[in-house]
Amino acid sequence: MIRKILTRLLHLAVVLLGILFLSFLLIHMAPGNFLSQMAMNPQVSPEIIRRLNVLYGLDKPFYVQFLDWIGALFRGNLGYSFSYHVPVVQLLLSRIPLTLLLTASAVCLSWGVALPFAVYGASRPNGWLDRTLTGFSYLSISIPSFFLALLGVLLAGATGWFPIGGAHNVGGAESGGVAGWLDLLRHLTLPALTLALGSFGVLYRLMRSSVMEAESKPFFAAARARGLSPSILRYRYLFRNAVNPLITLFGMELGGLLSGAAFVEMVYGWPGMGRLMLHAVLTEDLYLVMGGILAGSAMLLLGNMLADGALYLLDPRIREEGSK
Amino acid sequence: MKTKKTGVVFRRSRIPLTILLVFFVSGLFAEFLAPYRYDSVRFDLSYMPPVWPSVHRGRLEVPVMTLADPVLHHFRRVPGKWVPVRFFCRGERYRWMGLFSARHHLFCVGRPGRISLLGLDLLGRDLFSRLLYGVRFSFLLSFSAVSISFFVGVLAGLLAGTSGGWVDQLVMRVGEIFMAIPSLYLLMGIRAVFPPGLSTMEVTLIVTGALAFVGWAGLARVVRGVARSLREEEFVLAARSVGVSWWGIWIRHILPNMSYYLLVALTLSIPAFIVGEAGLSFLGLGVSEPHPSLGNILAESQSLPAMKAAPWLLLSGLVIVSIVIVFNLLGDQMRNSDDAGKRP
Amino acid sequence: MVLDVVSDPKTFNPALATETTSTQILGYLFRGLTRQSPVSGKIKPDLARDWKVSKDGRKVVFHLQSGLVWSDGVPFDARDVVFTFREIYYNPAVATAIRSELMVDGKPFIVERRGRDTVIVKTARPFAPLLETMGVEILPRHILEPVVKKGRFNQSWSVREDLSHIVGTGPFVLKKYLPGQLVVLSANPHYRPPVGLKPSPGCPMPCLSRLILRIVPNDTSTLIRFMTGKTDLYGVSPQQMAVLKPVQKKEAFRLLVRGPSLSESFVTFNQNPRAPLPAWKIRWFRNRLFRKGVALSIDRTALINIVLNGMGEPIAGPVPRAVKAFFNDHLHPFPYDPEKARSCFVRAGFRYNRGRLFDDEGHRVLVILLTNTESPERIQMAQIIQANLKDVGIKVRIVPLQFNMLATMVMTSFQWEMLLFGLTGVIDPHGDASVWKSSGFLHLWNPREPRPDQPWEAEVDRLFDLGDTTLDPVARKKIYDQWQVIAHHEVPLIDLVTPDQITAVRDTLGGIRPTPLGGVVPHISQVFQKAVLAPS
Repeated sequence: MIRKILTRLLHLAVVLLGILFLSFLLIHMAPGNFLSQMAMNPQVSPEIIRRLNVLYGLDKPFYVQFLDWIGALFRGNLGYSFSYHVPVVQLLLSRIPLTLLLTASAVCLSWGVALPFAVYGASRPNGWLDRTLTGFSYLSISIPSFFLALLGVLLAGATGWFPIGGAHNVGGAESGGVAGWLDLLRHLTLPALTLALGSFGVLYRLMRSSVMEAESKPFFAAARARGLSPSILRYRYLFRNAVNPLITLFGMELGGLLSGAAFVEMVYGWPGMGRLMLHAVLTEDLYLVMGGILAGSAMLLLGNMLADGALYLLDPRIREEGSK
Repeated sequence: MKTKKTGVVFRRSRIPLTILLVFFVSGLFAEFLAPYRYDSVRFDLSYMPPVWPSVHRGRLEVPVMTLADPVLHHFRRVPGKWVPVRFFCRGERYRWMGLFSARHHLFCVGRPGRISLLGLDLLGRDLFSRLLYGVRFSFLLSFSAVSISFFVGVLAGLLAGTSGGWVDQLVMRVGEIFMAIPSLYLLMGIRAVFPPGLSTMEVTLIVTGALAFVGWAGLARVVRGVARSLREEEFVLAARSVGVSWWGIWIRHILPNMSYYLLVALTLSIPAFIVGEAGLSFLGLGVSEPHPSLGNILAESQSLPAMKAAPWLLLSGLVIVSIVIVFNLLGDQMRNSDDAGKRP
Repeated sequence: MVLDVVSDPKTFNPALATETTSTQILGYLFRGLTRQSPVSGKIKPDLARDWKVSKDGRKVVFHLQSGLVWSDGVPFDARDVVFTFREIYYNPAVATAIRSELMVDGKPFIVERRGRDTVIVKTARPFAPLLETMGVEILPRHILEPVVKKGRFNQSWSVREDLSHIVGTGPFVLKKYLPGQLVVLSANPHYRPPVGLKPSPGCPMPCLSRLILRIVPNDTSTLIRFMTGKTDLYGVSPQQMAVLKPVQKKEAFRLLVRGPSLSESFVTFNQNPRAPLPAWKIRWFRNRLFRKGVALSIDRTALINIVLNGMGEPIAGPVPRAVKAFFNDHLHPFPYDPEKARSCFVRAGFRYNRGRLFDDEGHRVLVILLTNTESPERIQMAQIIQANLKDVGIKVRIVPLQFNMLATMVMTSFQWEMLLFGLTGVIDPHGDASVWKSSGFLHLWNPREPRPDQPWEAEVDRLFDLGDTTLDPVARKKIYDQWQVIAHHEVPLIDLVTPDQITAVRDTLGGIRPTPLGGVVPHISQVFQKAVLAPS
């Protein structure tokens, strides 16, 4: 068992290294670097740009830059952001909590709503509720998230119920206590709702179909024949068997927690990671991008590992195979 | 049995299939069905609202419009000036699918009139024509992306799920690497390898390739999960014990067993690619102007001034919604008939 | 007062700031020796009370305003000025982009002090824009000297710095910064306004006690925030006029149109013999009549009506019309005349065959037009130009690229044919030297020529050198007039259009006056909030 976990961790390290290397390579393949945007600014001479290149270490060959960065990484240093002149770690830490707050509340919201509805909808397929929810999920799938967010902004503008921009009022961050939380909640509502609405459709459809799939299995008919009550049937047998793809799905959602909200953050002005990273990617702020990729992929791998672990514990078939 | 099942599918899903066919055909024959080319501009008619033909002097005619206020985009009719609508007429020259040169259109009107069933965009291009071409581009993009990513994803997932061991580890790890790299960078990196000055078609293909590159890993993961859990099912064990190869088992047993999931995933991914391309267009990374895609027409309408001046551009959103619904309905009904075929 | 900004400040260090949000915020916190009046473009006193230029024009003596104090209460004196130039701007270890503006012929100015309130600046030769460049921010020696000594200046005053350490002489100080959300500035209690600036009635300077900048990266969101009264000032794009105009009264704001902006948009062709392009294409692009033909084929009225929503004007040359001190008013924008354009092409040696243009060797005239994806307006303009040139037989293929990619292709690999681009205008033509001098790195059509490639380029070089050293304003204007005539005749940059500058201002804001050169706020310390009107 311990050996298994250790091998798994080793694999994890290899994958992480692979991700980092490939991303670094891709960033270098894109023409130009962080400084090229200054190249067409009449106020900045090429002399200065050359000097900045040396100062930032961008004149070194690609593999030297990568090895330098990895070396620093092992000493706990993610490098400096070119545009902010600040250690990347500090930048990430300043954005991660609010992003997690946003995405986690959206995930709670969408799963909390979609899961019970999906189980119910699967038990009465094509009932009025199922039809309504299916229609609703079509809409949710088909509206791009940036557009949904724009509609949200329009709504906020027309009604004045929600503030637009940021996560706090001017005095909100330090007022603390109930008033501070309420202020945060008011800012959070629309972005979280937008994200949740956007993912509801996919969730509902996938959950419903996996529940229905479990329902069609022979053991389910057997259990029904044994005369178990419908509610026990639904929640004990059905749910445990439908849970397999759901766990995989949940693992993926965990992976998207840091980066999945970029569009929504941009439109609502939510001060999160996605927005920071989008800007970093577009300006080729190398180490900031790498830091973001590191955090994002760590999240993703963690999600996958948790999902695998949960599958291992929950699904007897996989467990048996593992113990062989 | 197989043909019977297919027959059931077709009978059951007549409506979505018909709608899909309509979209497909209109995309295929966009050049002929559209009265104008996608890049046919009229700078004097920026944001002109829809102008429908009506019976006038005993013929089907369209009034000629002129710009009355350039800031607020108000138009008025030029009194007494109408142009007749002609059918199967000779209009703007085009090359159908880049192959045959022709100039026949289903309908057109003479200058200075402009027939605009759904209104014009900022550059005075006909939205109806652009939507037809846009449907083609979006379909092409999503179909090729989905087929690439499904092919790779299912294959990799099955390989990993059924063989286990180091193959499984390798495939899954590679998949994880691809999933974790931001697709934005993948796009920019891949574009950078190719020389600039590519035609839009080629750029579209690159966008597709990059999207597919990222798409396969998620699917592979799910397929592997299902394949692994099916591995120990009695029927697979039984088949294995009588010496059926893994390939045979894949094709005959595991794939059909997973068809639920695959169908749902497929009906979700095609529209997801269309919607995803819209997101890329929002960032200016999607199909580039002047070529239309449903996504970039929608992205064009995203600002408040555009929404106010030309709300009809939002119709591209409606087209996206209807394509998504049609695909989902299709998936649902396929599954239902599959159920019907399997249940005693 | 509340404003929206599109992105986070990247640094609070004026020497390191390169993008607009940072420089906007730092403009409220720091001052230079001089400042430029946004109304007339004249140089006005700021930290310096007055100055005297020597007869030979190579020495300026500045007298500092007395009693100036940094925002932490420490007195300001000439040592701060000397420190800022010598230890920061001219320090090779400092990653500042400002240095290149503070050079004459590649040599730094010599900055010395005499006593506590006199600063002497010497240059190797007379340098006309010297007073303007003395507007660069002066930084506090007592705070930054130890930092520079430790070699940590490039990381100092970052956005993570304790805000009380960021000390300036401007009307405001940093109060609070929430990353991704807002920046709050409050009045600097130690602020002393520059000589000659009148306070608003019944108000200290600065009049506002607080300035809030909210970071909202999306256009639609900022527009709605303004329309619902969340912000007080809003830079309006021409397209947004249709939305804002009808609700002016109801939402209690004014739309101030300040005339044409300083920015210049143009298309240009690659004339660089070193470029990796087919030789015949470079031959087209180096042909003046070809460029002139293209200039005549572009319908600038359509550009204005469509892309600028009818609010803008065509531009005639590299000097914006708003800069009255240098604009040559004998020049007029190229008319839209496809007929004349065709005859230009024919005179240039091209031939028409069934409406398509071919050169004398039989090559079809096909050009790739690059522009950047970040700006939807440019992509729209590119499409209009594409349609215009199609009418005169030229086939154009548009390739939109990310800015970084575009910059690399244009500046490093020279792998481009036609470029649609824009530059933010400068007030003094000296700022155009990097574009117009043949040795300039932004001499887009043929950057960094070892020596002038064409006679007219040599002439432009001569005019710019002369303009730099001529101190008499009338003579200077004449010199730059000549340059504009050459630019118009040779059309290396085919000028397009410029939008009207429009600002929406909440009615409760006072101290607002539209200026042709710099927004609606003549000086931030004069802005005041009117008593809130009773709801009617």
